[in-house]
Amino acid sequence: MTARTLRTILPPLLAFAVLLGAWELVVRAFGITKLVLPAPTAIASAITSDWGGWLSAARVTGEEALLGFLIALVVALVLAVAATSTPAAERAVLPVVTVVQLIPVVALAPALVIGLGFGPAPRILVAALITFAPLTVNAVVGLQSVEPDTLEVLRSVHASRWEILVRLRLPMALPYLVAAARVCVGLALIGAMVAEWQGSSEGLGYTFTRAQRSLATERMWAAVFVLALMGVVALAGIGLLERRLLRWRPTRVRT
Amino acid sequence: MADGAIVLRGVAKVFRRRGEQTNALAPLDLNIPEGQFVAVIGPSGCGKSTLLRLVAGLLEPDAGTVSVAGQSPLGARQAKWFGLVPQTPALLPWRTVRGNIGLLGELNRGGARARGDSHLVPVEVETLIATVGLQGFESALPHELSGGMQQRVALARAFALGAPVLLMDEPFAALDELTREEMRFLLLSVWDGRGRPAAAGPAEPHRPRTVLFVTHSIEEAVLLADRVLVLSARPGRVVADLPIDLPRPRVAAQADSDEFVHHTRNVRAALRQGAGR
Repeated sequence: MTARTLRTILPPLLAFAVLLGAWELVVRAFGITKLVLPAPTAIASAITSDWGGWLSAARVTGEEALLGFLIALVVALVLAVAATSTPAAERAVLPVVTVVQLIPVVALAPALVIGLGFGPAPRILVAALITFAPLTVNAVVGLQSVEPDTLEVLRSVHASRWEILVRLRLPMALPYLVAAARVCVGLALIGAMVAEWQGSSEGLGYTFTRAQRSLATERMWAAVFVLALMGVVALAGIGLLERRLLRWRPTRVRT
Repeated sequence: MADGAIVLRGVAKVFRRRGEQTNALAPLDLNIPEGQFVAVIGPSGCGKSTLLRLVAGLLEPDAGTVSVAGQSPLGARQAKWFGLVPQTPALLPWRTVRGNIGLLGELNRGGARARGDSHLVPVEVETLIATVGLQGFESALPHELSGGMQQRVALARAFALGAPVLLMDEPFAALDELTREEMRFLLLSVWDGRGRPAAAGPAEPHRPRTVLFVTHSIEEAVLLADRVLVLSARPGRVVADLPIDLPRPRVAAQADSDEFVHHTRNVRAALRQGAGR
């Protein structure tokens, strides 16, 4: 580990250590029961005592979130390309996106379970619905962010719509999509987990509700922490992808 | 046989926005023979850029016809007759200098061939890089270049296909004065074939390129062009069509000559008249 990476990761690590330490201290000093707030050490031991269980639960939820995100990404790109091609399509697409954005998707989960059964389908759908709006809006803005001059240079040699899409619009949209993906990581994970509260028999959401029934608050907190950790890993992955794909950007977004 | 001539017959353009009509271009007749360097000058909003876009087929006229090399602007575009240099460099930020210059050659591959590309003499990208003085920067990305260097890339890109008609919309307006002057002479040397570096071997038979060059600089217009068209304020019409018979190749010292000053005076007078002042 170089001195530079140490300098980058040390401050946030210290901040987390201070935060958790204070939490632990408060719980012990005031004798707070675990029903009110479990100590970080209790949460940690809930995780370390059952690695296998947490890992398989995380995998279930992670797969649902990822699948939902990918479905939303494909739909968003198709809609954004349509919205970019004609003004009428743009006027048709954007209000739909706005309405979907305003639906409390998480509250819809119980209804989706009735419709789609107890398999992973309703959870994937919730993750897709919750990430759909930010992905579509960013895709539309990104595809339209091309400079008129650049567009005219391509049109002056009669480049096809497809050529303009692939060689100009999609690369222009990439930074916007990466930014949207950052927002969507958390949303998709939360959506999948909350959807698991209803009628599921696996995943972090299921672990969460089962722990709730036995008042095992440290396990409930542990489920939330595992979900947050998955988000951190996913964001790091996006950061790597960004550094590879967007090397051409003059000011790289810091991760 | 079609040549690089541009012919406009009664071309008019009206812009409609929120029910409001703006006559951008009055019915306009224009005949530019192949190989002529024509500068278009006029007050802001007089339709100079509109004229350029009508020729390129990027806008449709509301009346009249445009023909380039005997065909419609659309046909000319499909056959890759145009090299367009807009006001901004309009480079793809993720492509290197080499990649940006080569870009247009990768697009619409069928177009020129289907229509017989005998008019196209593509220039080697490496040759162009040397011509515009970008050796050593082949792999640089646009954001690593200065504004002048970026515009050199845009210039090279327009020449890359060997397109017989160059359309330029105030390409040097955003540059500083010294760079602008450099770019003007660079453009002239590439245009008349003198810019070919020795390394490229014997010059191929040079085919004169028709140039339509929009500018708001009187000096630039007189220095570059064979002919200066002065447009009036909106709706644009030709108030003066002035031949510039200064000898070529043009050099910087000519700008101090009596003939040069005489031409600029004429252009200025026509501009005033067109602006109604």
